[in-house]
Amino acid sequence: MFKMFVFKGGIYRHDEIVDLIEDLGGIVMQKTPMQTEVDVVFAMPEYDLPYLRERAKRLKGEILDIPFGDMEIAIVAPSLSRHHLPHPVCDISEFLRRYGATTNIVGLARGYGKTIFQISDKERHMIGEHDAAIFSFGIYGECILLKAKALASFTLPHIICGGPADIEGVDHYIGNMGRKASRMRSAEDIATLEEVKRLLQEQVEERRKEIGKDPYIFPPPYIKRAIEDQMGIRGSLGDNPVVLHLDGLRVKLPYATRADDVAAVTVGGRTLGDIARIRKSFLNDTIIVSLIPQSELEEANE
Amino acid sequence: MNIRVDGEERTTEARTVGEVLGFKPTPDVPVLVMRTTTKEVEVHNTYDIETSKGTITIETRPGPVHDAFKERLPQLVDLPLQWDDKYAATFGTVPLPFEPTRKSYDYDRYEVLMGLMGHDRQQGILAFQRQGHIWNNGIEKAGFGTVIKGRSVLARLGRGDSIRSVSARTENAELYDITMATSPDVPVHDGDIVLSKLIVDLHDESPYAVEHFLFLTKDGRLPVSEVHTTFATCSALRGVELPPEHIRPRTRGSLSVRTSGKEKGTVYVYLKDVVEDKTHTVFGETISGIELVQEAQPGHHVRVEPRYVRLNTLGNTVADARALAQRAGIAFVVEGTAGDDDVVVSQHPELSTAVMAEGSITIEAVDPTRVFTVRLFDDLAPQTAAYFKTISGLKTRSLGRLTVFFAHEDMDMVLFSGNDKLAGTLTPENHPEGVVRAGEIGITNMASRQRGTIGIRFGDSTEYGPTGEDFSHTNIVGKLDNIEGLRALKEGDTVYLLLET
Repeated sequence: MFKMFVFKGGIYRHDEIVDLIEDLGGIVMQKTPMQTEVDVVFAMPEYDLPYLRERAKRLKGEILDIPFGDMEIAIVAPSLSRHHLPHPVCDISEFLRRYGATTNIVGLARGYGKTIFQISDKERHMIGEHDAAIFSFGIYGECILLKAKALASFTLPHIICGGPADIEGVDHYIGNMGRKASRMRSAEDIATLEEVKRLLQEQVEERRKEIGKDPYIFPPPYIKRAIEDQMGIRGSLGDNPVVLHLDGLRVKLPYATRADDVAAVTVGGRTLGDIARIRKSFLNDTIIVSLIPQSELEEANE
Repeated sequence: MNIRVDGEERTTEARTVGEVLGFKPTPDVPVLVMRTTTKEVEVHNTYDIETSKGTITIETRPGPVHDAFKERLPQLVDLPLQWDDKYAATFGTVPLPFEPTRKSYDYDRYEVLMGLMGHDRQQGILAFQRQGHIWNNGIEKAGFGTVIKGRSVLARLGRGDSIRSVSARTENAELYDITMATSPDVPVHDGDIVLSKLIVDLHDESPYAVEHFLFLTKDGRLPVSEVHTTFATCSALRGVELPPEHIRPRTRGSLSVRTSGKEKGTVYVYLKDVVEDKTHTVFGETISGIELVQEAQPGHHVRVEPRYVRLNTLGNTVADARALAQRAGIAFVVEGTAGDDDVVVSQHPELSTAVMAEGSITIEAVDPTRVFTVRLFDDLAPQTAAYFKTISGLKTRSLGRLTVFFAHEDMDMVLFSGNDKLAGTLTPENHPEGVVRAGEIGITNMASRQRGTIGIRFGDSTEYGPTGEDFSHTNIVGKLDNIEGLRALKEGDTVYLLLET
């Protein structure tokens, strides 16, 4: 399975690393030169990494993991009103971005207490399109317990954050993160955010292993490159026009007019329509490409 | 005894590698002797459950429920679907040895478990979770596995479906016993596989890359520069510009050449499947012998047999070129007049693929006195030799050419055009010591403004190099033995060069 990494090093001879990534079948996603330094973000199979690390070390550079680099994560607050947004959604979002995540803040159309907390089908689907979700709740333990039950059917990696240090009966819970009147900048707060990252990463690694057991015929970064090349998206000034997911991609183009073009993109001699399900997103009329696992494709061929 | 040699079965009485192959492997050109035994092994805790809607693959965890499942594999065949809802699909019934319990447990999505319908030990079921939920199914901690493949099959199961077969997944494991034979005395045994060469098929879609490879392996060998788990490389022609051609995913055995970057011109033999890249032109596939490349070490030479004829006649005599064309069954046209001993200096079309497509070859030839054989000092002046090959074209062709830049009847030397940009990094190497001999080829190095100029003296000199520079500004790159023909040259004339073999 492809994973995301970044090479950080000097600009001198960094082209050797880029060439080697291409030789090893990796995909260079982004190159950011900054005066005498350069960051090269790339995706490649993990088994070739030791060799690449050694070459990077020889050039006095380093290769770092980007654990959430190929993920879109929803940070969910019960509403976008001032009643809920003092919650640390922005801090969580900002923190996860440091580890490569593309984050979307979702405000539900709810928010007057535990008794009417519910989640609509549309919201559920919208959050379900993401690779992971972080729910940011308030400071009342009993309230969080009830809300957690409404979220029990979410199968994607998720974390519930709230004020009480611990609530019995709530899985994937991280406390000390309820209403906060200031930014999470203290050492304790940062340690809590680190804990969010750790717990999420644990679940994501499980998800990766699961995908690895029944992989997709082509990795999402490879499909992203094909879409960008063939649809003329490369060089677009749009905000992250093709977003990587663990199981596919989100293409930020209108579904009604461009879905057929996305389905016609060819990868390795097959069209994307053959190897993926392409559907309308619940988020801003974008296109969701969900790859079909290899076993299912083989079965369909038989 | 029966031995498989380069993909072909042979019955032979030969006892050693040398006798089998008819040539002697050396430490430079080794041969792979391998024995494989294929063994069917059970994949650890993985089962394929074939249903009437398709196959579901599960991965199991050890425990009492798993043991009960494993013991009842034959009884699970032909079990019909008992019931299914949005939470689970179940097959039954089969007697189970568990004590019924009324406790509930939380089971995850896609978990596989066994249960007792109505808490009756005779009414055991095998259940697949469609959604995670809390369930009292009669057995304590009944989950023992997870569906890893066929989740769409699980979603489609319904009334009337049944289990057709259940089997532990097996895979054919190939066990290799490998010997890299570096001498002809290595013994061979019945059933051995001997790989002495890489047999490759080349694609017409990448004509430049194919020509590049055919030139690289014109003596039937591929020098190995690097071997990695994903690919092996040959960088003998590193730096050669090639246009991007057929770009497609690289699979195990694919041959590709890099068309940009520092490693452009390097040939890659892929040992694993990787995705396509626009910097790699894929120009061929391996038919046999990929294991030989995989086991080779840097510095080894792997023998190569391309299933393609190199139709390049440059540097050949007209008689040889005609014979080559006849063997390939193509028409042979000589432009102007040429004797059999004349040397071919140009051909049209230049690429082998194009020659095959057109079915004819047109050549131009010159008198052999205009063609000079050059000996290059690759070991003493490697960088300068590489420069000389690039300027003369000897890097990518069998016949090189130099253009006279300056010659005068009163001068005891001749100068040829170079390239001052390429020579910008030509550091001093192999200076003349005390005297420059007639026929030695000198190149002005980066220490002088006239860097890159190539020169040859007709007489010895103790003062200046072949390009008229100080000795410290001169790199001696090689030698021409017969310099008589050079004296009559004028500015703009072309000199043809062949490398001494």
